[in-house]
Amino acid sequence: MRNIQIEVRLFAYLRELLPSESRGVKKIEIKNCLTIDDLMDEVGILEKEIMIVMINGIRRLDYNESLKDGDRVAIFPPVGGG
Amino acid sequence: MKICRIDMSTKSISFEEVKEEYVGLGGRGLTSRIISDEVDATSHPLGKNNKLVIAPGLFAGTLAPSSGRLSVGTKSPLTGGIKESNAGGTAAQSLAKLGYKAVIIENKPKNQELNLIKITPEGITIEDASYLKMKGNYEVGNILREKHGEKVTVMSLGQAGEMRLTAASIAVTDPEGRPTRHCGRGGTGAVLGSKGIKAIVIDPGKENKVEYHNIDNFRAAARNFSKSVLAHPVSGQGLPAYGTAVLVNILNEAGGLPTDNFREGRFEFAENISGETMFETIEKRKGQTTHACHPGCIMRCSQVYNDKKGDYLTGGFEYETIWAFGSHCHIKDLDSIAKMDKMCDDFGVDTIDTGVAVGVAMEGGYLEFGDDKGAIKLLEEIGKGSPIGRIIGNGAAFTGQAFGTERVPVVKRQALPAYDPRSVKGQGVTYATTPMGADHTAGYAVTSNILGVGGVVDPLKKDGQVELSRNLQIATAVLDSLGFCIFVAFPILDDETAFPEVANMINSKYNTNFDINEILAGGQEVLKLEKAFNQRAGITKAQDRLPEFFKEEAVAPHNVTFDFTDEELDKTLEF
Repeated sequence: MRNIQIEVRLFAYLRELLPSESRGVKKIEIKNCLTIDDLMDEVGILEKEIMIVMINGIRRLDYNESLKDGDRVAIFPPVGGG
Repeated sequence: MKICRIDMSTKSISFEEVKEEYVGLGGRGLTSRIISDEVDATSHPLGKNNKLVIAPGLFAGTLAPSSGRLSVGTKSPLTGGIKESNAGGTAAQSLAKLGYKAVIIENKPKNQELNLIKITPEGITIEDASYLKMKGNYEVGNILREKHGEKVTVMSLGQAGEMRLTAASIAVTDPEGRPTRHCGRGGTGAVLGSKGIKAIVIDPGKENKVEYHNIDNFRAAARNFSKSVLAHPVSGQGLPAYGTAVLVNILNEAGGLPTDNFREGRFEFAENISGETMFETIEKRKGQTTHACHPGCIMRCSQVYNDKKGDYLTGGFEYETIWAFGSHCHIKDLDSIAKMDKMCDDFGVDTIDTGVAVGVAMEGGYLEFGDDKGAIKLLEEIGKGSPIGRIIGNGAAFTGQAFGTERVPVVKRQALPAYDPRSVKGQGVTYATTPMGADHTAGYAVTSNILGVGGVVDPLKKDGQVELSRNLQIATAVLDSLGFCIFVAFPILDDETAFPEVANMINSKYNTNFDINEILAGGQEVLKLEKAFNQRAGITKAQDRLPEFFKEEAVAPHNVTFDFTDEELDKTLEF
């Protein structure tokens, strides 16, 4: 099965999971059938249920959704303000 | 508790007992009620018939966490409607400790004067303050603390308030005495300036006159409520660590970070001005990533931002400010934005309306988008009181007129804050319909639209947005009346035990027996009063609208417009 390329964007303290020079952004190649849930496992995100996940700027609540080539996947811990 | 009335034409001061019908009111509930009861809605906002009411919330000075917000109410010279402008800092707690439920400033001197109001345990005096003429808030604070003691709270005007510009704020000092907290919106500083007042010094003394009907019950409820605030991931962890600036990246990802005067929903340099970058910069320069804007705040979302040399540059450096001078103006240098934040605090202007005005001046061709040095120079003109400085200091709507551009993001002449109404639609409904003019805090739909707090409402669709905005506007009117920071809404929306504890606190302090529905009905009453005042002032449904370009131009990356019908918007506050 061919691989696909996605862009992972991690924010706030989740950035500690990537080397600091990446500023939380990394293009990674993954297997075609991977889901959001698999990706979070791969990156090392533990408290999945409290994260905010957006694919191409749209919030996702179902982490069983498969990722597609070129997706921009943003993952935030609980943040807020105003 | 007492209400004080200061007549600035005769310089007389009088005290009155709190009327029966005002006993259950505080903060915004009280300021809006007094303005509504005592000010003819057709009065000129800078004339003798307008009043300025300063009121701590119902919980100010108590053991309730994060309850030190101050309300200032008046008829706004910016919107022409009723205004409640809300600030942190130490003024609300100081006034409550002295036993003041409200201070009403009325009438005005015949000639142009500058006075200082001094409020101490011994009473209230009015003194000449001509020695402070055209000084900025930082210098005013330093002079007044030297004269009146290090511990006093200072509320003051910079140059903008003295010139009675419509974006003029009233600065309130934080616990370190810095003028970083402001009643920013709606030009309340211009009204105080029109009354001939440059500053108010409050010395709370040692005694705390706050009384409780049943302090043990209050303490228990406050403790439980604090636990809810601290247990919520946003108010307990997110806000203390990163402050509000963490929103730059989340709004950018969501396509809701207005860029280049609301042309785009994402900014290519968002990372440069993000909360994450700010956090690292503050740590590197040994500032403070976490700071409480008033004692007893347990969320501590404020911060101290140092310059490259490690010296204090600014504090209370919020997301909306970073956005207004940042992506809105296509400026990517966080130090330049911090400098502009400091200048706004010093001259005493609203960072939102002023930042949006600078972007509108860019739109009008006065300077290029992205020109941070030009923007700083332009802001300096406010402090000088030059004609161009006065234009910018009058806010975005006035600046748009001065430069003959139609692309002016305002509602009721007040500038839109940092969330694109097309891609965060619930926020758009609030901008359009709140009696305050475009205001994000009046019904912060970003919660369910973006942050996943209080349920989920799709930010790109219309479904559920009107109801969401309505409920949040009602709840906010309650929080603003209690003197709570709006961020306690996060736990209230997600933890069903939190709001009943608010009811317990009200009942144990005031010997009442309100349930949640009755408390929310109080919030509705505040909005009804405010709407009615605006109607008497000539503000009709026709002003409950966003500028046309939001309906006509789709914003990238989601290519959405603001597609609510007028009838849908009109249902928001129909009660």
